[in-house]
This record gives sequence, structure tokens and C-alpha cells, in this order.
Amino acid sequence: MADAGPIPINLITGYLGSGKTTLLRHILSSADFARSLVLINEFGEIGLDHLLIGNVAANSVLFENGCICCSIRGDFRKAMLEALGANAGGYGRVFLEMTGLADPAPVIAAITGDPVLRHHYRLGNIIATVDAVHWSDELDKDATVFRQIAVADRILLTKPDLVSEEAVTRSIAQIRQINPAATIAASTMGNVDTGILIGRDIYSPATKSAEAGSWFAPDLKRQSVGANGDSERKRRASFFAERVESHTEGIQSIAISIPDPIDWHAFGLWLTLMAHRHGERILRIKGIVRLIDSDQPVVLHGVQSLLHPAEHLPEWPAGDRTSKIIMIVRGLNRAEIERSLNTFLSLKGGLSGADTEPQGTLRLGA
Amino acid sequence: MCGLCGLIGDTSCWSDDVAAGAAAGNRRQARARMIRLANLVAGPSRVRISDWNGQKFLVSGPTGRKVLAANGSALWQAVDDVGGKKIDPLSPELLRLLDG
Repeated sequence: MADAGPIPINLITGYLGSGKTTLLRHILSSADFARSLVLINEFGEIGLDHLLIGNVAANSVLFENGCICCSIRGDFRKAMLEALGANAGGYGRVFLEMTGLADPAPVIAAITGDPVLRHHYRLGNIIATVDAVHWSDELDKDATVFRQIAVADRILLTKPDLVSEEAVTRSIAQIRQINPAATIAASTMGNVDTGILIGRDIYSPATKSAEAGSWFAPDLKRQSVGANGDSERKRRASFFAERVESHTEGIQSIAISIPDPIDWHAFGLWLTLMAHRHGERILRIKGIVRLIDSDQPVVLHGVQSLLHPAEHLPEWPAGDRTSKIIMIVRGLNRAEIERSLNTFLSLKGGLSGADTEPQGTLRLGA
Repeated sequence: MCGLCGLIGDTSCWSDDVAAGAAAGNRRQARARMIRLANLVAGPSRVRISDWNGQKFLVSGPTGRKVLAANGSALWQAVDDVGGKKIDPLSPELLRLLDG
């Protein structure tokens, strides 16, 4: 029988030829993942990857000649439901290898938004493979590589043995600019500790605290943009931006730091409206926030307009108790986001509306 | 489905659980506060939002058109629909009005 609780699904993304199948073969060769269901999506007339996987995984399903994020999403749902019916032996985990051109966001929505699937499956880490040799060329040609890096929880730089150490270091630094909250590793032939890739994720009740704590490990000690030092300003959100140079898209990661506790209603309203109006341009958001009326931090994360249910963590991860949020956006202006968030956090009836606040709400300190 | 009011479907929103906790367990109070804030934002579009049975949002437009929104995520689509314009949280004009 399967372990109690929903079955985790790990999405493996990465550009064409970046080593997704090699990584999957490495993971599946471990006895820990012998009870895994493997779903492979190939975009072409003849699928080959499942033949490579067939030697190590008894249970594999091939979706071919269509992209799982659009044309064959119905096939994916059907396969997932059939897997539940056939799961008397108990799959411990599902791996979905996506085509090199697929956008992960629609697949995530297909899992978390489905009234049946979401009760039986949960997301695990999204793993992106990035080719150390070709990735910067691909970046300039195809925005897909950007999106794959931006939405990933774990990024594996593959083929590092084919480039210099300096090139590996430079690539990791560039990848971290695009996605500061992801864990990045480099490995040859998929030979990486699976614990790094799969051992911990934000969707598991047992590991979400440790995972959220790792998002902001490299602290937000970059040069502040626009802070002027007066007391009112200090109370407000400070923004730091990393613009990633690219010929394809204006993607940047924006780190937001808010020293004082925030009003959840005002913040939730702002983020819901941002996701509604600009969801396609918010590639990824992760954050830990401190509320005015709770000692427990709230962890939030989302991909594009899909926001996962926010929830309290039992306690703060090590470090300071400042609200920290990372947004990876495309074509949005950092200054406009800063102006908007600060206005919403200051709405009357929110932070300062004393006459309308429910009893028990704490006020901001001086 | 509720036999009295015919409620059906998913009325949950990504921020609901935390919102209820933030108001010391009082879901109604949290909901009322959220609606108050939402009305500040929807006001410039002459759209009014009110609670409907503690389950959905009743969104009323300037022409009298009314729409029910199942949750906070669906609320802003309904506001766009009945107000006839798309509310943009980055709009300088909206932010000036909210700062007012």
C-alpha cells in the first residue's frame, strides 16, 4: 500500500538535450524510487526516451506527438486517474519528464486545480536541467529556458566536465540571478545526490519549514534601490532588483524585504489582484512574511497566476524575522511594483484604519 | 451543496486559511475586513462588493448588473466584468486615488 497522504509528483524540465532523461535514469536506479511511476512527454513522431528509461522503470507511460502543457493535457489527467486505479501496489512517487519546450505552469494547474487529482497527488520539487555548454546560447534564442529556470525549485547544471571551472562558476552565478531561491547543483551524467533534488520540498508538511528557510539563505544584502532613510520609509517595503541581461525577455528577480509586520488582508488583496492582472508576467513568487497578529510566519509560493494556499509555519527559520519575498517577473517594472505594494499595505482599514479594525489586531510599532 | 442556498463548487481561495487565523479565528470578521479593503480598490470603477451568505461575493456594477464570485481569486474577474474596465494594481491613477 502506498504511504499515507497524496503521492508526490516531481516535474523534470529542461531544454532539448540538457540531460533530463539521463537524470531520470540516475534517480530511478536507486532502490528508494523503485516504486515510482514515470510519465514521459515527447514532442515528435517517434518517442525514444521511454526506451532509455524502460530498463530502469517498470512503470512508464509515454505521451508522444504533443505537448503535455497544451494539446494532450487530457491524456495526462486520464493517465493519472488510471494510475490511481492500478495503484494497489502503491506508487511512492511520480516523475513527469516534460518535453524540452514545455511550460510547467499549465501542468501544475492541471494537478492542483483538478477536483479529483489534487486529493490524491501533491507537487514535489520542480527540477530543471541546464546544459552547461549551450545554455547561454539557448537563453538568447528561446525564452523557454528562462521560464524553466524561473519556475524550478532545483536546478541541475549538467555536463560541467565539458567546460572550465570558471565557466561553471559563472553559469551558477547567472542562474542564481534568474532564480535566487532555487537550490543549484552541478553534476556529470545525472550523478547527483537525490536527497538534494527530492529529499525536501515545500509541499510536504514534514519538510516545508526547512525548505522555506533555505529560500533566503544568501541574504538580501544587495544595494538598496530607492530607500531614503526616513522613519516612514523604513517601515515600508525595500526592494532590490537583479536584472538579468538577455536578448529575449526583460526578466528580472525582485527581492522584497519588509521590516515591519504586515496586514495579511491588504497583502493578500494585492497579490491576488497582481496574479489576476499580471499573472502571466509573474513567473515565480516565494516568500515568508510576518503578520501583525501572529508570531508564526506565513509561507507563500506560486507559479504565474497560480498561488498555492498560504499557510503558517510552526516557527521561524533561523535568521531575522523580516518578511522576505522573491518575485521573478517578466516585463514588469520594479519601481511600479514597489509603489503599488506600499500603497496597498497602507490602505485605510488595513494597517491604519483604527475605527474599522477588528478587536485583537495589533498595531504597528513605532 | 447546501440545500437552502444552492451553494456548489469550490469557494476556497489561496489566502483564506491564513486570513481566518489572522483574525483570531473569526472567519466572518476576516471576511468583512477583506471586503472593506476590496471596496476601496473597486470603488473607482463604481463597483460595490458585498458578502453573500458568508460563502461568495456579490459584485454590483454601476449599471445595476450583479455577479456572484466564488472566491477571492474570482472576485477581480467579476469586478472587471461588471465595472467594464480592468483594474490594474500598478496603475498610477488607481494608486493616486488609494493614497488620497
